[in-house]
Amino acid sequence: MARDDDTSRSAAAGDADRSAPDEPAGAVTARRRDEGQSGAAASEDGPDATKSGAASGEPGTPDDTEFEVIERRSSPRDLAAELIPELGLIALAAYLFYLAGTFQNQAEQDLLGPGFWPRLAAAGLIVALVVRIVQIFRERNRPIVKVHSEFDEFEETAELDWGRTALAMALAVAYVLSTMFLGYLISTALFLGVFIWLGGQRNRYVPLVAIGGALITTYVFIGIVFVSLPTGVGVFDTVTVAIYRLLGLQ
Amino acid sequence: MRMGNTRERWVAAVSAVALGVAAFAGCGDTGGEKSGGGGGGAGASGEFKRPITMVVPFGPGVGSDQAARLSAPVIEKEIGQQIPVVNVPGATGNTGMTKMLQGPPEQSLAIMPADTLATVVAGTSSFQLDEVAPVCRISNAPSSLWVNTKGKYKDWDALGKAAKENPGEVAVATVGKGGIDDIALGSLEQQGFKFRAVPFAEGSERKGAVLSGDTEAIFEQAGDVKENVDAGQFKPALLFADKKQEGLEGDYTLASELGVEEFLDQWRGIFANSELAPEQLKTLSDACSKVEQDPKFDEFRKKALELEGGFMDSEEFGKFVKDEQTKIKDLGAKYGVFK
Amino acid sequence: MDAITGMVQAVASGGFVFFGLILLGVFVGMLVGVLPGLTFVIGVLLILPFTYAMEASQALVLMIAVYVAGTYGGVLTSILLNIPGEPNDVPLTKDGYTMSRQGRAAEALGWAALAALVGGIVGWIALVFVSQPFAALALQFGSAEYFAIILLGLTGVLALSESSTAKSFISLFAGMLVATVGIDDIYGAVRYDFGTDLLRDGINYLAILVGVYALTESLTRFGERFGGKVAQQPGEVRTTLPGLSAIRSRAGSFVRGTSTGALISAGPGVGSTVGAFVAYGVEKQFGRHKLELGTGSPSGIIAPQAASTANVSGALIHLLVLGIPGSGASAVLLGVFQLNNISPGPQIFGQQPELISAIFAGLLLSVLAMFVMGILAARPLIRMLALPEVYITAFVVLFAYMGAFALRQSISDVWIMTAFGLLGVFMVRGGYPLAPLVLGAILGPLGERYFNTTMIRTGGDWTVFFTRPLSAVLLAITAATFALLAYRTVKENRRDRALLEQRIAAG
Repeated sequence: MARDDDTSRSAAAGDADRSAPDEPAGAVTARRRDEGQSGAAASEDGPDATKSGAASGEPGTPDDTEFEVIERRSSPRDLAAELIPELGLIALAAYLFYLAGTFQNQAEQDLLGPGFWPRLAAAGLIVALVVRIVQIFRERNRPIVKVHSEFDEFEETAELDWGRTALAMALAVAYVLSTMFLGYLISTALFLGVFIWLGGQRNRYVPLVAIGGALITTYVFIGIVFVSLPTGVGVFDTVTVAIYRLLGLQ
Repeated sequence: MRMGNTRERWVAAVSAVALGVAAFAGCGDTGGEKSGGGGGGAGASGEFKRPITMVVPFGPGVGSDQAARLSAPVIEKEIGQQIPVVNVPGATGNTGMTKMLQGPPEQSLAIMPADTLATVVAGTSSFQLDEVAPVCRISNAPSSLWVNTKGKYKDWDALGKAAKENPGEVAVATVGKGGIDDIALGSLEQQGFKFRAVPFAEGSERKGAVLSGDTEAIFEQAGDVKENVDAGQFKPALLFADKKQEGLEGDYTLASELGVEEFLDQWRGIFANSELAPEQLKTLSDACSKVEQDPKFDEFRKKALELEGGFMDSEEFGKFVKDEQTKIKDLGAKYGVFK
Repeated sequence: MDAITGMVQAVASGGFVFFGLILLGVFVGMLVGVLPGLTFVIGVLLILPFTYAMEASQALVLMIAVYVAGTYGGVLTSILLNIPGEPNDVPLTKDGYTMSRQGRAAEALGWAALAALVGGIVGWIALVFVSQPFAALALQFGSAEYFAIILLGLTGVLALSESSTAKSFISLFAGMLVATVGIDDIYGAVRYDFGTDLLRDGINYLAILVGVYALTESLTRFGERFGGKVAQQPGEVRTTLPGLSAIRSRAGSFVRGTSTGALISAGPGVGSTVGAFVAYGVEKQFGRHKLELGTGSPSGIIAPQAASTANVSGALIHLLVLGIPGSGASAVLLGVFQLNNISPGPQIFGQQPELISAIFAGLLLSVLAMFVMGILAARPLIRMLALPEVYITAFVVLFAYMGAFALRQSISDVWIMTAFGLLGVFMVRGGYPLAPLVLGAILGPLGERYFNTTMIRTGGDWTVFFTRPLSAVLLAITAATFALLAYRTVKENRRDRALLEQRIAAG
């Protein structure tokens, strides 16, 4: 699952070059395709190299590499968007590093104590983050070279819609929260219904799936797996327990 | 598209409001339910109206789990309510104890060993002793030191001699820092035998350490190393007691012979929430007294090499736990285990 | 012989339940392989809550069945629809789908089924015959050796990550740091609880796994509007097994694929996906039919598929003998062991022979069941693709909830799981790899434990890691892996620069 598209990729979308309609939107491409049997072509790179006029004195540069160059110009806003999470994490790691020095140690005579390992991890995190920030600065106006592999076509390409993702996240949080009050059974029926409905399936089977799914999973997990699922509070507890009785549980 | 979007938002908004309202309604009801439900009147009569969950704060299969699963049916029969057993492992029993305390008092029990009490004394527990009510003690066994039958030191004489000659160099695998193990080793140090305690959180690692020669001995109770003893891997070296234990074979030494006077045993008891009505506590304590006579439980007790007469009722156990707490605290301070 | 007697007994005592669990597991494994967005790691996570009520051996056999079938189920969509069902199916998709377009789909499916069978059985033989002697050896390992193994595993995760090295490191250290929350098991100190019971009880890595794998995937799929993986129903789904002479001419591919998969899985952190890619690379380099690779060659299916399936056995050897998981799926298996209070490790072979026999028997039967079901149930499995993805995703969220809740019967773990599910979305979005986070959280505490133990044992003598021979060798391999990682980064940067100049020169 190669899901490593850089954020910069979308940043590049701003200055789209319409000259390459077959490419992902916005990517300014300079690729030489070698559609033949790449296995056979791999060994002979001599003549090609001169044709392309590449500065390939570099050792280990396979000349028939398929690649694209993604131009980008990071606006200060893009830069901030990239830097803020990293800086925030550094602050957090530094705080955790400090806290690790305060851990209560029952056994005084020991050398390392309970704070050693967390400090090691926090320090490592800070160093890695600093390196990352330096990278962000150094690369901010440099075009990205994206080398293609023969398996590129299987990269996931669907666009992530942030509004939708936020909606999904809100639903997940609301679901967990509501199980604490409405109980598992009622919350699950609601969640399934809303999630599937908002997920694009709008037919009369949705309520059926939602209620059926909630009842069946409740039955399986309580009756067979013996998980003591939250029953909710107040009237919801009463309703849930009543439904349990109907299902023959407890 | 636009239609869809508007409708989507609408549905989202409505469902969010619905969830919110429901949650609010739920909140409002919480108080009423807690004070009115289950307890009250029923509590005073000492009866139980709902099934009681017994939490085992360790994983399935270990001594505490077996003890809980054998005692639950006996108590069930006495009080006429089901007692499902659930395992909630973590943090030397603290995770499970917290879980028990979160449940309704008249529907929650837990089994707890001495090791968990030590965390209360050490101040690393997630609950306080006054939050729990001792119901009964169901078992008791002394701690002991075991050596590898193919190891460098094959009995206490050799092990003790090495510890005396090279203080702090002979390693013993223990459960964790600041526990009963450290106190016991501290009592040996007092007599001139200074060991190095090397903590291993998991039983298998602890045993593995002795087998690989990483440590020279292991601190355990007999029941937990029975498999290794049967397989000829371990033999007892030292028993933290003043008399030989019935069923424990081999020429081991008694710590009392070395001059150690105070011992912390490995006991297990059943605890309830301290908010449980006294009458109900009494009912449970009475029911628990039948556990000891149960043939299945007796068989388990013998197999796990636990001492006979480990039972204590609620009152006696309550005093015992208090004394034990003081004892752990004092001995811990004496041997420098706690700061 | 003992091993075989034990296995027969295990099957006999397990009875119909044993077979039922294997069939169920294989079906679930194949299903998650076929369904878009569900990997076999998610598969074992989803089945996790159902195993709480089972005995350890039943739970493990069920999970192994899901795991092994999960390395194979994805071939159906890869070959028929050009959609790799799992990451490890990517290398075989090229040849598989090409064959399909040439009207040789049935033949391609046959080769894949056979490759999975051969890889599975050879891997199983290796498991049965290698693990016990290895365990006898591992009994001698002290905590210094275990620490060196963990370090090698962590380095391997970094070396295999496709993302930038800095991002992988960030993810890894974050995972290690997160795993220190709660009461530490050596000193009993409370770490990073911020006064809450929720954090004091620690963060179970299974909650993290469920969060960043199952929930993150569900949320991003919802965010992607379930796009990008539109699947049509293929015409006919049939499987034709190859004839003997055809098999003979491809024997080399079977041998190379299986041995690559089995050998490479000896390295910690190396999962089926890496195995499949490396096997494809080996085939392309050394195979008799190397020139036809990419143009619809059975060898391009055989090698990666045999490697993927053989890899499961390697992961199991690792887990059972050392008690250290090398991949996401085997980490879930470790979780099942722990929930049953069993610690895998060299002693388990002596102390739990019935459990080991059950696992051995379960793996063999799973491989066989997978082969049969792959041929007979291909059609109905592919039919499942007609079900709108949102239904599946909704239930994945449900099972994620349950998987976390049932860990300790507590809503706290559900919150932790959810938090990591949300974090995972941001990480995916920012190009941060998830695997180092997860393995950092799993291996970190083990590493800490072994490191501290070694230090306490030796009174703070660091040199022990270098003076104990095995530990020294492992550390040398770790250093070499690091050097390789650094070399690769430098080389890639240099290549990128060269390519950029090349473009500028070309105008």
